[in-house]
Amino acid sequence: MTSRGGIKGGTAIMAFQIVRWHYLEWLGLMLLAFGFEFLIASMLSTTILRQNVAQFLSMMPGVFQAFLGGKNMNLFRPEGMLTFGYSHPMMQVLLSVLIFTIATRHIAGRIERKTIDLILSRAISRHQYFAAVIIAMLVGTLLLSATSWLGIAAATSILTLKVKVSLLPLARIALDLWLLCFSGIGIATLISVCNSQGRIALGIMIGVWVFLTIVDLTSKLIPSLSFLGPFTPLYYHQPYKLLDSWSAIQTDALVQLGTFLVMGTLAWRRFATRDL
Amino acid sequence: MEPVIRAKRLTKYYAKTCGVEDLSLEVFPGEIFGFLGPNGAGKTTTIRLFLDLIRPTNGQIELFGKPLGQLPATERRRIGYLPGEFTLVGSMTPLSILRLMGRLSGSIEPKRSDELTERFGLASSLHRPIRHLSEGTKQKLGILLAFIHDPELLILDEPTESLDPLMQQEFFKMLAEAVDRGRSIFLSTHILSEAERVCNRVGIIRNGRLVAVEDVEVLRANTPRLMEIVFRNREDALKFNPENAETLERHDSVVRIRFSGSPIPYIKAAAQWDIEDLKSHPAKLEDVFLHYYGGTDRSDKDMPK
Repeated sequence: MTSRGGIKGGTAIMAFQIVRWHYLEWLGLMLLAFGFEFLIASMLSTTILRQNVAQFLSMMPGVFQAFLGGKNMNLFRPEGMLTFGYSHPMMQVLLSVLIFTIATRHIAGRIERKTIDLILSRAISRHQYFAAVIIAMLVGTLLLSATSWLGIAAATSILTLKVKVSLLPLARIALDLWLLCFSGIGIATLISVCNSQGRIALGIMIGVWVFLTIVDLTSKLIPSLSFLGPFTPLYYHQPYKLLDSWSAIQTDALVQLGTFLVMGTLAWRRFATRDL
Repeated sequence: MEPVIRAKRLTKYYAKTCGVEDLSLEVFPGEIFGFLGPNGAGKTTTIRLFLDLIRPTNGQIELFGKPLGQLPATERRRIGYLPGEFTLVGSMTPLSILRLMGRLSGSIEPKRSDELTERFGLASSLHRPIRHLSEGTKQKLGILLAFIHDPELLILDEPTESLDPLMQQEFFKMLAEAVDRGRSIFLSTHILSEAERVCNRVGIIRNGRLVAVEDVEVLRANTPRLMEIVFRNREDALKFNPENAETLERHDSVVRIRFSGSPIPYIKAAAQWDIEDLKSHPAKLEDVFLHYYGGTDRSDKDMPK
């Protein structure tokens, strides 16, 4: 049977089903993202706390500062302080959990347990199923990124902040975070379709993510290795650069979408032709 | 008549391991084709090749008269498949699985769905998470999913596994009804009595190779039979030595032989002496299977007592 030509609406039916299967886990992740950003924003309500935190962070070892954006952190500016919530690895971890879970369970995991047989014995094509998994991940990460911004928005409207915060730059940063997910989804999907065991696929995904993070940090910490930075998608996610304009998002979008397209196309072709 | 399934010299290797080799068979409309073999013989590999879940190393497959590679995925509506594993997510209920599979198959008549649910006694389990269901109930659900859209071709992998005898009866009835409606069935099993009971033709697979495709009756006829003769005198038993039969055992006045074809010449040969008892075991598919599978180690336990 060809890998194409499935039932009309097959992708939407399957994507919706995947979202239904995971909505509770996603709610948990969204709650964490919301709470985390809310807490960061709540620091703005206390000037002393904000200054102390800013001072504390600026005195941290280079490796931590590199993690958070280096000298560009701009923590003494309210929006800069809030950018900290997006530079912090917490959000990347939450998004990675979502991406890795879906990619592992619905591709490598289903192939391993042969539960993909039941789905693909119906009138849905391999391409439709693959597209459904990708769509589910994009929807999940979009919701998670949006929820993180909502956490800040909620804090700024509920709490009495002593500073004026513009939410638009933060929306740009949340969008940029979602863009970062595109390359993550591309890489995770490619790893998953190249494996027939969920755990191995998950292990490789985590390994690749840790490796890319180390490369990104190394390039920031060691000037002589700064040339390595552009080779990791994480390098292009620089929230503090988005505080004042949209221009920085263009390069990021190009890199993240490019990585997604290349990895996604390779994964797509592999999934269409491989034994399941 | 155009076959529903046609496999030509089908070969599948997993790296250097042979899954199926040089397998050719045809399944025609309105027939039940039994696919017999022990675990690991290549039955599931063959089925997964038919469904395009795995790709052949060599050979061709045609479904409904078209090469498999040219069939769009929508043609799977014409197939009902019972896989070995059909748990998607443990928290799903049979009802939600039925709905999902229905949506992915196009459309399902609610009347047929209700009728089959009732028939399999699944009505009370429809809202329970699948992880809480017994193996038998899960198997009933799997059969239901295969039959629910009344497909032209049913591909069933070990269908009676975990079914209680009553449900097995119901299942066999459903097979007969499907065949009456002109449906074709490819039934993979290692339960030989099951194939003997319902199949028109049987293919026997051994180590990935199809060793025979025969009508069930022809297979039976070609299979050695067993006969036990109890003579009144021990001396007569020693003298009994029929041609073209293999003597399996000679113990006191009892002789056990194995032969092919009609039992009449052997009964006549034995009748030269005083006989106390004579039992002839009609060929069972188990014997057929052992015969084709190269089993020469048949023992006394094959003989009915």
